[in-house]
Amino acid sequence: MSEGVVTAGRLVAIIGNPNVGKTTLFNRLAGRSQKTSNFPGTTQEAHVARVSTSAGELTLVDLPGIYGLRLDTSESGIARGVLEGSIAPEGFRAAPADAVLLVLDATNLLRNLSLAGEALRAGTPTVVALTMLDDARRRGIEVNIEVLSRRLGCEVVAVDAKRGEIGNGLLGRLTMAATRGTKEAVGDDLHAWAEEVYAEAAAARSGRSDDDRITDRLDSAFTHPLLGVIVFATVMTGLFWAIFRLATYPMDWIDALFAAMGGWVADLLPEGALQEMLVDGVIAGVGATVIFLPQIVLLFFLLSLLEHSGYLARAAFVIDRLLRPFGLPGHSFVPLLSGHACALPGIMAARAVPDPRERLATVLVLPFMSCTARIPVYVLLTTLLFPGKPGLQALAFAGCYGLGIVAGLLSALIARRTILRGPARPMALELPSYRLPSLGYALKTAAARGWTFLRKAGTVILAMSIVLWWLGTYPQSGPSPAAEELRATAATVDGPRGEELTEEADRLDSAYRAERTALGRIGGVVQPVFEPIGADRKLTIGILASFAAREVFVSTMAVQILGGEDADLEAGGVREALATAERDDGSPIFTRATSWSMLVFFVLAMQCLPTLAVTAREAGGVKWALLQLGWMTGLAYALALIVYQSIRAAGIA
Amino acid sequence: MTEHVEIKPVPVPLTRMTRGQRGVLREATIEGSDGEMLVAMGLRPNCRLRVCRSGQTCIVAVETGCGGGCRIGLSRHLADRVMVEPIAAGR
Repeated sequence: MSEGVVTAGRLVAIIGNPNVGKTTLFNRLAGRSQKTSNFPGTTQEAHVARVSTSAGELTLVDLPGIYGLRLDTSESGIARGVLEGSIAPEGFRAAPADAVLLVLDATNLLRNLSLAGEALRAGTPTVVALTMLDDARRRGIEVNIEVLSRRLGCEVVAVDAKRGEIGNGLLGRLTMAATRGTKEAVGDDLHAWAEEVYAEAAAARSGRSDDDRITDRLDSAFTHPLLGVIVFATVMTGLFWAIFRLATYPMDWIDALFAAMGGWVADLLPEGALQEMLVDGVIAGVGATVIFLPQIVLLFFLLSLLEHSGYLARAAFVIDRLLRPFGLPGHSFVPLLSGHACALPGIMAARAVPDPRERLATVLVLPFMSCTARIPVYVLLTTLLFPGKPGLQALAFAGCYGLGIVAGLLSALIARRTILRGPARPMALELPSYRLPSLGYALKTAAARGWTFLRKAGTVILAMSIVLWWLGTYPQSGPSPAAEELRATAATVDGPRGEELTEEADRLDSAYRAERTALGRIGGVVQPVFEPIGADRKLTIGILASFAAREVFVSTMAVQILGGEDADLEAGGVREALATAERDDGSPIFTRATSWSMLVFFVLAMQCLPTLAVTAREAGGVKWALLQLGWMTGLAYALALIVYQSIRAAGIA
Repeated sequence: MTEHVEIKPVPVPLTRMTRGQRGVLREATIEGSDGEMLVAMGLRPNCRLRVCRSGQTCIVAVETGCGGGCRIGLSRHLADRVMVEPIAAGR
């Protein structure tokens, strides 16, 4: 074996320009063995796979698409780091790459050769995978593989990642790849070298092909100032209709599955703390998170289809004009829009924003977008504010969405002018060819995103659910003396009046016990903090509980006021009970001032632990999650205070 | 004796080019990493371009420079700084 030969178990870095079929090729080579992690301290995803060949094992690392190794971008920095051995995906030991799989696109070979030259200069054993040869032929470009191989000093393999047999052939070559002294051959002038190699190895026919004509027409339509916006609005409406509408079916199934699981566990285990913890803590808590899985999987499946069709790059230009005044690029739009379903996939989708500062600004303000978890709270409060007036309810409901968007955009502007100050990166984007997207790839992407969501957010919310259940259940106290008295009276009264008294006693009991739990006691202590925005002890407990997840607010209020756990807003009785609920001093909880104040607070406050966990991971540090929590909740408190005190000062009851 | 003087077209900003027009990139006055990125994407001096769309979003097909016909979208801010020498129709 000569010096520089790749031996078994060695690291192979896969590099190439964006949109050259690199990830499709990686998926074909890796099969099911791939793992997704991050490059440490970055939002950049790392796909890694261990594969076996007849000659031994290889570890493949799929690097982000780059235009050059020396460019001042995070992607180029990562590629450089992996090649040199200073960076490794999380969970892997950093070591210089033993071999490079260079993926070159035959339709843009000249440009690809500049990157090839940079990679070859490093002297690492290299194999070239030449993709898109069919497309190149259709465009009148012929590539002589033998000449190319001779000039590059390494093996060149033509691959069709979607159809062709590439597996062992390419992997076998990678295990045997050796340096052949190309380092010296590239020389100092990279572009001159690339042009020389291209002139020798490729021949291109000039003129526009039919593909170009179709692409021209589609580009004109999709980036047109008016038509482009209409197409974009239509595509996004379809996308979110699918997420909100189609996802409801699997969401209902998941809901039913977890309800059934709760029932089975309740039947199987004897009554007691373990049964309660599993049913009310683990199953209810995990179920409340997993229910969002269909929306997340569907969102990433559809986004992947749109991205690979070539449309998304065009749409980024349409929306860039609208977001630029707020310091955000067009790439931020899809993440921000996704945030209206759930902040978690939105934050994960922000990986598509190329500039690190703009990406961070997007992540930080994204939870201002009203997610589906806020909907039950909006429904409750707008109904309490405008009983029997659906028109005004709808207006207030839409206003909540508007307030979230305005707060998010203005916060982005402030962040970009202060902590994330820096030049706006002007939009320059390669527009890939339009093509039929791969269903398999989209499914794989969606499954990977879904799994990440389940693993990361699911574990956090599972732990939080157990903690919240424990705090809301313990210490347990005996029955309320007032409830005991009522029950004694009820026992002497027959008929409906007796039943009413018993129900009233149950409610008193639940409220009494809730007050004495750890959460209830914390509510009592913290209440002075929330008093200036109109919250009494019960509302304070509701607010505190909702810091784990917003949707908990409605059920927590219902539990405290009704003493029952099945809070169903469709039931007029529950709404009526909440509308007439009283504070400890007998005054109503939901006055007009309190309801408006709570609405503003819930639109703006950061009350979602999984989002904070994902922000910390995606932004590269807990400090960013804390900043998000502090800024959003501080702003929510300040505006709620202004609203509450202004309405009270105006004397509105 | 008549002297033939060839009048070379004066480079104009890319934003002044119309749809379908071809030109040769002469200079891009974009400094720093953005300029380096455009070169790496294929927008190099002397490459031939075809304007697919002009206006706020400028789309150019890079006919030489990429080796095929990659398309690059540029915001007006960048397109204003890319100087192109128009090629007469039919050449």
